[in-house]
Amino acid sequence: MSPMARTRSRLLSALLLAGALNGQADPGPPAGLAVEPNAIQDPAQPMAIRVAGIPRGERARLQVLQDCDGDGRPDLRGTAGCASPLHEWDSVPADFDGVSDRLDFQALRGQGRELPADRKLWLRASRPGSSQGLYALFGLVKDPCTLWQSLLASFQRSPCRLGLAQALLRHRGAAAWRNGLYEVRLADLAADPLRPVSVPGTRGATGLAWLDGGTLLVTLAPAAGPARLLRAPVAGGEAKVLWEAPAGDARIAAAPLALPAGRVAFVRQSPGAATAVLSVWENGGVDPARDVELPGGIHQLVAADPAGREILALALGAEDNRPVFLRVDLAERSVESLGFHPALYQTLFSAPGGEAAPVAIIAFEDNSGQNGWDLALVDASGRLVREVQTRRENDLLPAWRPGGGALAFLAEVTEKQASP
Amino acid sequence: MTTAKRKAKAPAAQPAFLPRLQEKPLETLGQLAGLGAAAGAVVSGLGFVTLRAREDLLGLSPSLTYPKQEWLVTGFDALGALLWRGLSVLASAHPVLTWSAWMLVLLVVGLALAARVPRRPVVLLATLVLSVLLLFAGSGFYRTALAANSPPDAGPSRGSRCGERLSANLADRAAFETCSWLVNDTPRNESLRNDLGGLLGWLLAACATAVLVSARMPAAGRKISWLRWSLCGAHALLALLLLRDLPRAHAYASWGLRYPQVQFREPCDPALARATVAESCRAFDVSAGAVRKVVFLQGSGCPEGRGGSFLHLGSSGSDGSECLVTLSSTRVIADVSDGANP
Repeated sequence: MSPMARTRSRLLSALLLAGALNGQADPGPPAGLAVEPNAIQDPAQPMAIRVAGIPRGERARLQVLQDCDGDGRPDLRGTAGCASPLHEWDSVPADFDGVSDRLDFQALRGQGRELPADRKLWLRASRPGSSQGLYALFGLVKDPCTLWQSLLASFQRSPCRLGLAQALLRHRGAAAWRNGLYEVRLADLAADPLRPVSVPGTRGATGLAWLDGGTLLVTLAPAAGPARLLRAPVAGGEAKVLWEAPAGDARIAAAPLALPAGRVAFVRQSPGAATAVLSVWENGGVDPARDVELPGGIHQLVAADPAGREILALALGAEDNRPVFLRVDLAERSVESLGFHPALYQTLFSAPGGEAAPVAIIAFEDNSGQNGWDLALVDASGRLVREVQTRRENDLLPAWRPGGGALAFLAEVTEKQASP
Repeated sequence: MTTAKRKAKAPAAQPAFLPRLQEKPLETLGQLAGLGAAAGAVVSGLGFVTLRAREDLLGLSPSLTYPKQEWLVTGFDALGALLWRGLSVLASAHPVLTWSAWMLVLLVVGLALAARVPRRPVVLLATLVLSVLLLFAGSGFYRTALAANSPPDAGPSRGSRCGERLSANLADRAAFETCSWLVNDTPRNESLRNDLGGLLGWLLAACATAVLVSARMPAAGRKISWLRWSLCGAHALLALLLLRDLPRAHAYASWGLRYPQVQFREPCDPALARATVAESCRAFDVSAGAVRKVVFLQGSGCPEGRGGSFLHLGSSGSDGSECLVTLSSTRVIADVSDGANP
């Protein structure tokens, strides 16, 4: 080989090497990025992600970004008080068609890294070692209303109001004792993100009420054994069994309520039965002779008068959608139907000490059919103030801690969660 | 005029054209040519407005000059696309588009059937009232979706305004969704943009049918006559409003923000040539038939900080195409890229 040819060959090799190194430095962006189902993502459903142009076995770097500086564009770096990326991870390895990954918003929420809703977000996909990426615009939007309600609301240029949904749907909550496995959870509303904690010893709960700021009354229907009434400290410690159903009594205990002088009222009922019984626990036991017969489908004992002689109860009625308030006179052992009005319901479940801007906690059925029963704070006109619990599982029977600021509620436990 | 008299007169009017052509061939042909020229001018005008709508969507300024034949072709394309996109939307990948299109088909069929029951004007009137309500709501949503959070007079957006008002409100969601079809670069979104353009065809068809049916409806009394002309006017007004959206709908469906990527040739601009080959600066040919080439530059690697700007090429003797090498790929120009916003 002549010196000239050798020099040319070396130059060519150097150029190829430089090209290869350059290629290693930045392999360029992926060939394509798509999110499914579309730009509007339902937080209850995972987002499917497809990244094309990634060699088999290689991973893509995925990031969820938001706009921190208000220019309408995603920011790779956040600012003080505005995190971006909100979440980032390496995808599963690519197969022949590229990467097929998913982003589970519910799981993120469970990890305390909830993505903000009603805001535009971007998914960025890049190849490892590359500064170039592709973007897909998306937003998390949860619409608790039906299409018809949303259509009506769109003419008012406002999101569909939960109040409207509540007015059209007379559901006020489901009976936890009918199906599913529940436990009591405590949510501190000042915490952000909200992370409810389980109250020990309450698995199998069917009802709850506050005894005082640190203790709960809980009714249980254990998988094995008789129905029970417990006194459970929320800060931990052993729950004390106050009452246990006698052998042979298959009725389920539910709807506890603290009465003056250390007494506790609760209901015993069988699923589907036309009647239920209100019992009062005092002096360490229940006197069956003082039981009061009630209509079936009792949901909650909501309040009692200061003397503890009368109780306001809420029955859900047939198919849980004919709610009615009942006045129970313990002395007379009589029951009077008071009818139903949403305003009374809202007042009863308003936060303690919130007279200036009353906020009520309600359980509402997510009628998109995906989220079961959720918990939300609503204002006096029924407008959504804040979502408290939005999960595929049911969350029911929210109860304000005396003094406000925290809630106890029944949270459905899935089999996976329930396994030790 | 009674229906019987009108029926008697109608057959005489139809074959009058041929004898007239035989009697006065030059005059008749002249009139035909005049009509054709007027139609051509209208179609050309539509093409011109459509090309301007394309520029608005892109935020391209100053406006470009196009050959007259480009106006005509674009105008015919905008009208013809109503038909083929209208058929395509019936089998759209998006259920809302599909159902909307089939609802409009049913409305057209319903109006035609109701018009065939002349003895019961109440049926037709009820159908027309239902039609005006449906079309009023439908066209409202259509206009919101087409605006895609970026009203035509809001200046260049290229997607940065998507989701400015995102909420559970249906109109906000519709605008965000259609805006994402502009900026999220996937074949599915391109097909959905076409389908949204096709929906306008059915909206216009329903309006036109309603106008025709209400104008030909026999008036049994003063009140009914007043009502039918009101309904006819309302439908005509809706049709005019929708026609106003035709240029934007066509621009949204045909181009969106997707343009062919190009590279510069070394002799024209060495720095840009190097940057576009290395893809640190992306160049898109956004001319779309204009007499001179215009390129949009995107990326932080564009020389002299020209990323995010339009570069007008060509001189008196050339259109500037000799400076460009068109790549096989077409890509979406969104205001979101690593180059544009590091």
